[in-house]
Amino acid sequence: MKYSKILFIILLPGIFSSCSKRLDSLLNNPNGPAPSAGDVDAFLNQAQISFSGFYTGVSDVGGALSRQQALVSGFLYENAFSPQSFDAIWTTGYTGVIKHVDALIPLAEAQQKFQQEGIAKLLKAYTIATLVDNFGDIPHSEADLGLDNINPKADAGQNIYDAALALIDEAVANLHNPDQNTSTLPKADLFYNGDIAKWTTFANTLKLKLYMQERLVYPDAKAKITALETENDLINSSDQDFQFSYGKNESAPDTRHLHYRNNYLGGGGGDYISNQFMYMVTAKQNSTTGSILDPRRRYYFYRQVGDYGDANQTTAQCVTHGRPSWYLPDMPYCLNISGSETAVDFGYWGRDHGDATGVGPDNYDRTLWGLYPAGGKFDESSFDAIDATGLGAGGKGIDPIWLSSFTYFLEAEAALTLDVTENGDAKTLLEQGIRASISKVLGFPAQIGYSVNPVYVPDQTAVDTYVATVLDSYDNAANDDERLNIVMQEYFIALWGNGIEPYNNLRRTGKPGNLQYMVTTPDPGFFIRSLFYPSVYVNANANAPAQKTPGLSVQKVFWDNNPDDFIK
Amino acid sequence: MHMRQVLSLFLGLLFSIAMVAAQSRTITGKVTEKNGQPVDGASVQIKGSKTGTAADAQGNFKITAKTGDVLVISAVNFGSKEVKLGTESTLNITLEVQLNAMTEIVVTALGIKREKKALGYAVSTVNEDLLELRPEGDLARVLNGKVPGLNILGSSGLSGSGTNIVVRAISTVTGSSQPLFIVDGVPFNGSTNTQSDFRQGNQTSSRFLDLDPNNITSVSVLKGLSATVLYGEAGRNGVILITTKNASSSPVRKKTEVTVAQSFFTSTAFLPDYQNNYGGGFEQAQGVVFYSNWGAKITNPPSKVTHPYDKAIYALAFPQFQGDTTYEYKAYPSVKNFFQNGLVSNTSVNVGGSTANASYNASYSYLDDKGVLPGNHVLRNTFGMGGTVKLTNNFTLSGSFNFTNNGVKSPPTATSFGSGSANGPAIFGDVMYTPRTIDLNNLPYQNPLDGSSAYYRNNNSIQNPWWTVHHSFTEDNVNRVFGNLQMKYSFTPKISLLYRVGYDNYSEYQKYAQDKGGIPGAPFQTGIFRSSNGINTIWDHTIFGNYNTNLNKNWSLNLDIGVNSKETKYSQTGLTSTSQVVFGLIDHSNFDTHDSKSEGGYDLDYITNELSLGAYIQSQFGYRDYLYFNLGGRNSWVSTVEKKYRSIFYPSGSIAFIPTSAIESLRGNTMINYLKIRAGYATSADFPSPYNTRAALSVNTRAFLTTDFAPVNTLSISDRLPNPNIKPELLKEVEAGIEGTFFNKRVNLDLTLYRRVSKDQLLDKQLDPATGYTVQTVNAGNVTNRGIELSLGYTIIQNKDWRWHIDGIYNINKSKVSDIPAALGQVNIAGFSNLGTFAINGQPLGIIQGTRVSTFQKKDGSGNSIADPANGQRIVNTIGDYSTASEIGIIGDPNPLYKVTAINSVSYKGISFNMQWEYTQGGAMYANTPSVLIGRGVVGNGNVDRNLFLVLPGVLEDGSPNNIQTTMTDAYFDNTVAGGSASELAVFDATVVRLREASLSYQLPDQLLKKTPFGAISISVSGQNLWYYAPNFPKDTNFDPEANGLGVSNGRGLEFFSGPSTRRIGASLKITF
Repeated sequence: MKYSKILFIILLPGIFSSCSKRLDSLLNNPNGPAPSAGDVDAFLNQAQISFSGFYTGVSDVGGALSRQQALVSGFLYENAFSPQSFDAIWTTGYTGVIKHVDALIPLAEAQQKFQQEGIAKLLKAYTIATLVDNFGDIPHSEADLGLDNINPKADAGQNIYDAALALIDEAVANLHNPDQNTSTLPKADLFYNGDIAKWTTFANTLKLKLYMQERLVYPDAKAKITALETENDLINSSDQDFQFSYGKNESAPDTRHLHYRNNYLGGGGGDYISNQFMYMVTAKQNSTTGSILDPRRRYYFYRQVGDYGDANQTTAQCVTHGRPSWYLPDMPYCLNISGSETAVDFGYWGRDHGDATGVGPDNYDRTLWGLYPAGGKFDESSFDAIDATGLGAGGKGIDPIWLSSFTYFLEAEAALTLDVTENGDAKTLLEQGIRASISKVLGFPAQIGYSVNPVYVPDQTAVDTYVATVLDSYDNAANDDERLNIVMQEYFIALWGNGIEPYNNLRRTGKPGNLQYMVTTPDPGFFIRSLFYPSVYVNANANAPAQKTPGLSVQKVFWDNNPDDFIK
Repeated sequence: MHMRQVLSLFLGLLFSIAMVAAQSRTITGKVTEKNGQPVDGASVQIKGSKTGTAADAQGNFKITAKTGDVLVISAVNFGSKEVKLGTESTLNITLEVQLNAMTEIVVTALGIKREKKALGYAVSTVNEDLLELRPEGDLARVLNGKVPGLNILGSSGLSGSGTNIVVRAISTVTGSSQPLFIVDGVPFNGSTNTQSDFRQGNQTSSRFLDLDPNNITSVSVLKGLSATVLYGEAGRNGVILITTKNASSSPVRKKTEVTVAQSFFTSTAFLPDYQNNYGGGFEQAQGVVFYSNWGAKITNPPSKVTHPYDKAIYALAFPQFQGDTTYEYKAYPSVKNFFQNGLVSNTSVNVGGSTANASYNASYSYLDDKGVLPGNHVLRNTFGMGGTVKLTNNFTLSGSFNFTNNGVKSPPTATSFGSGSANGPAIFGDVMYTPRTIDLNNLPYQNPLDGSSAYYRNNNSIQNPWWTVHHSFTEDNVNRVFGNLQMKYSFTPKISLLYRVGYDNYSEYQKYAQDKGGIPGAPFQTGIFRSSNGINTIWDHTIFGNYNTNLNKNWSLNLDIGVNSKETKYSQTGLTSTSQVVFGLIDHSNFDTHDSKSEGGYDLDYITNELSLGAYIQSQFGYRDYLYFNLGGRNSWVSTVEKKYRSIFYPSGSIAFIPTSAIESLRGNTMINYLKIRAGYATSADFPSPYNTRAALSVNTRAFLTTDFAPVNTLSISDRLPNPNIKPELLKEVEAGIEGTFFNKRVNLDLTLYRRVSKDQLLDKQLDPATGYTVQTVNAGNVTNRGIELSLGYTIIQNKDWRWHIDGIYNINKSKVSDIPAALGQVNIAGFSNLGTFAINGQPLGIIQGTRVSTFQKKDGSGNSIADPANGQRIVNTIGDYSTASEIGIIGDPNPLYKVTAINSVSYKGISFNMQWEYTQGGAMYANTPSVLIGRGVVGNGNVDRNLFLVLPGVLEDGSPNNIQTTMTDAYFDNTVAGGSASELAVFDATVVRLREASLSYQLPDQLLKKTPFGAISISVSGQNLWYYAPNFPKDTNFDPEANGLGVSNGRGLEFFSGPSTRRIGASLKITF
């Protein structure tokens, strides 16, 4: 017994004292840096990459609703989306962009990395305003507090717009803070490569976008826009374009444009493009004016087939259905979007608005996203199937988040609706917009170092003819409403790859008009004026408002005071 | 003896304790059986004092005593005897064997040997004769069906693939349900370290594959918490206690004994019975290059068609087939000839012996298992040595050391839904539904120009299975060392102290690779090579003391008290490379891009480190020989939760009462020979995995590339909000049982009933991302399991030559999930979120949810349901197919109603014949293989005219009876394989009857061997998984429901082309010198 006592006395405390200290040390995760290792530039990089993901997510929703990409998820507006459809956008916005921006601000202040702080705030301002544009009232003042508030309440959209505008002003001040430590400039600026002047230009342009967005409900908009146009530090040339540039790397990391990844894996097309949009780019001008072709069409779309010989009940169900009686004459239907088999647009294989019928084996028929902006293939009428990986520009595309052409079109809208003509009259701005857009698209191969067959590159005459045609119709327009429609139509075409602005434009102006109606029923419910709240929001947040019923009732965001049946 | 000197020195360093010198008169003696065999380790005690000793392995003992003392001599499995000392100085004592249930000794927690009758809980033991010379090298699969309450489920029929073991039932939603392995007293890691998830296939071995069943003396399964409480949280899922031959204190051998065993087995796959009447195509149209087999009738002589390789993309590669129209449209034996006969060879050598104070054993074995799937191979070498030395100073030293080298190779088997795979190479998904008119084994599998896969599909969308065999593989290479060393010091026969250190270390080198040239569009078309090396180390230290005494005439006490520390470290590094440069070379430098994450996005570089400390006490009070109380508990401190939740106490208590000893009238009763009633209660806990309580950032050094190709580094804050307040899941279990032997020991019974409640499940709570986080682990929800384990044996004949005995094992378990807060909703356990297993309140754990066929419900104008005869009927859509509901729902409960095993053994003199039959009633299974085989038209309906039209039973959208005709092709294809068809349609009842094992063996009579150098020779012929019948699966698919597409996990009942099961038959020879 004596020995056992001795052993216990010797061994027990020995083992326990040394081990119990270790219990504490094993709580920290050795597989990642401690939170104290947070770094301004590394957080900013994360915010930038998340921002691109957020943009893409929102853009695809708006693109489908505005008949740019095809809406194929439901026959009625009420079932076109489910709350889950928006979980990814919400999550990327809050946990990808906003959380990392908020985390870097105090560090940046302490380390005098004001430029990084300014850039981060601009990304956040764009993000929160875009969330408001799509969802309405959302958490802002109580957001991103972690355990301190797991049920953040929603703030009014108007207040969040004000906060975004204030954030832009703060950002501009940060960008030009003289105390910036010049040895710690941003390490990876994926938008402007560290050009602070361009960030300032973007800040002003973003303000213009927000003021224009709320012009219907904000009486001071005109004065604010006038001031911005007078200062004119706006995105007016393509070197100032606010765009996210992708690369060709397939893995580790995959840096390719999302719509390239969806379409150029070698198994044929993945995404459907809206027949309406292809019609507007390829045939609308043609059918009304003879033989005027949009110079951008071979850049925007890639056709795998030159004729519809393959089309049958299994590959495209719409060929066996009749044209909906409620479609207006100017609306395309099914594959024959020009109505003529001899038309140049033959081979554009997309989907009608709201065609949720089963997907047939048409992967080798579908028209794909082309060279611009997805970095895909330039259409040289070769009609080759996409049956291998890496074709075209390899995914080296861009997100056209804000291009100089958009500024011109927006200014044209301001001229027509608010009579702000500091930078020219509407027609001048319209022409500037069209030319900026065409020049951007035609110059895109050179910008990404990709060469296309010159035979299919439109010459200056083709561009001038197109511009002249549009301006003719503008001159012939009966009133400002028709003029605005032409502006918004050209804006719509220029926006290919950006679904956020056409969705905003539709709700703000109702234009372009006469877009394809839902294809299966004349009564698809109300056009979705704001999206369902994401399921991750309403299900997990006790203070979330009641779920909306898009499609069944009209749920407008704060800047939208247009009539309920404004858009179909 | 050199080794002994070293060990003595080692011992001396650890315990520099001087020994007490002897005094007074010394008595020497020898304890033997009636036949003169010495009794190993008999206890010799002076009655009424604390003085005592133990006999050595030869039965010799020395004790100091004086005339008039009464010596009490007792030993395990023998009756005790009292001898009053006269003046003699030597004693010869003979003990009577008492081998019956009343004195059966079993190994319990921590290796403590106890009389079975004193235990208040169930323990099942399987001995070596049921483990050795088996066709399976995987211990778990050998144990299948042999232990009540032990559920074994392989993840596929591949040799070396992972295996699920569940003791009693799964009682956790998100934690591990795999039991604790204890080999020779110390923990042994049995994890399955997969680098991907079930979607990429289930080839990864479970690390108990490193044990050779031929080297095992016995396996004890501790099932309930009462039995495992001393292991604390580690024992919550049951404990598999393994004693290897190297560590067992084997029966005394006078000389060195060498045993050599050699087995050969062949294995064959259970394949579907393919039909030979129709060939590839659709809607009865001849189409050689179709995925499906709904084509034209096969004629005799066969019609000639265009060669499948006559197509533009093969113009250069296969000019010989261009314009070739001589290809015969007939049924080829493609699948049958693709599989091969497996061959298993198993050699084992065991050498053991003993001297006066030491025994030793060494073993070596070699397993070469070539599977039925080409490219599947297991090679295993195990070495081991162990022994026990009894030192003169009351120290006993024992230890064992083992080394295993284990290599498993297989083609990848990603999940498939019957139309290729989206998750990498899926060999079964590419071969099983090969159209009948495709001559798989004679078509070139490789494009001679660039080495890429060549096959019949127009757009080359199926990877040729032969190409996969030659250019794609997964591989596991393990080197493992494990062993233990223990020192026991006996102060007196009543008091002893033991220190044991265990070490288990393995390095597991895993590879996954495919050359470039796979099918377009699929992952890894450009080639992939992923390699990882994981090192797992367990250090386990245990000190415990034992004190046993008779408190008075009636009461005895047996007390164990001790402490334990277990530290488990796992560290892994790895690299995934993609885009192969030169075809055919698998080397990281031959790939373009490199990533530290796996192809599925899992981090390949990480370490985890866990420490668990415990202090425990266990006391057994015995009243006479018929009433035993066990009280005890363990306090654990575990490193994975914050300080305030770290310490947890697990109490336990049990009682055993033996009426046949207690009640006078029952003693010697021939109807009831022995009866024991027992009950127990204990608790345990399941701690979360480490690092869930504190935040860490994550680094991505190549989150993106700038336009100048500069990598963009990011730091990100995890979306998982750490919860410093998480506690372990808490388990409580009550069990009760009856054990008995009846009718002149003809019948034996062991019945256990249990109820286990597992509280505070660790579940993920979704957070609004607006908080900055998406998820947090919280404690919520309960899982309750209730079950019955019954084993019933009956000896039908027992006489001099004949013995016929049947053992029946019956298992039933019911689980129920409750109290999951509404905010957490349904918890996805395993599988896909829209086709997987779930925890749902009020339902059994692991219920399967998936898409269902819409059913009709009549409604009035305001949307209220109204009665209608069509309500509940399946809705058929406008083209005559079942319409799929948009929301997922319950499609089946994978938990079987019950399982029965019958082990029948007949012996006549040296010949014995054994059969193990199993029957599983019920349990639903979502099974892709049978569903797709039918849907693709390769099996079944062979004699039915496929030109007939069908009208599916059901109603139209408006509730009227379905009258839409559909072709046979559409009816089968659209409702099984086609995208959007309801998962519910692929759910079958998994009832199955199986002949698990049969063996015939012959032991040569001793007389025959007397004049030879051989001690014993036996030969046997045996087979495993010889036959099964699952009546509710489609005929001709021959589907074996013993498959699990979810790998080693808590999920059951889903299958996505995990491959056929196999039958193994062979012969063994065992010779002892």
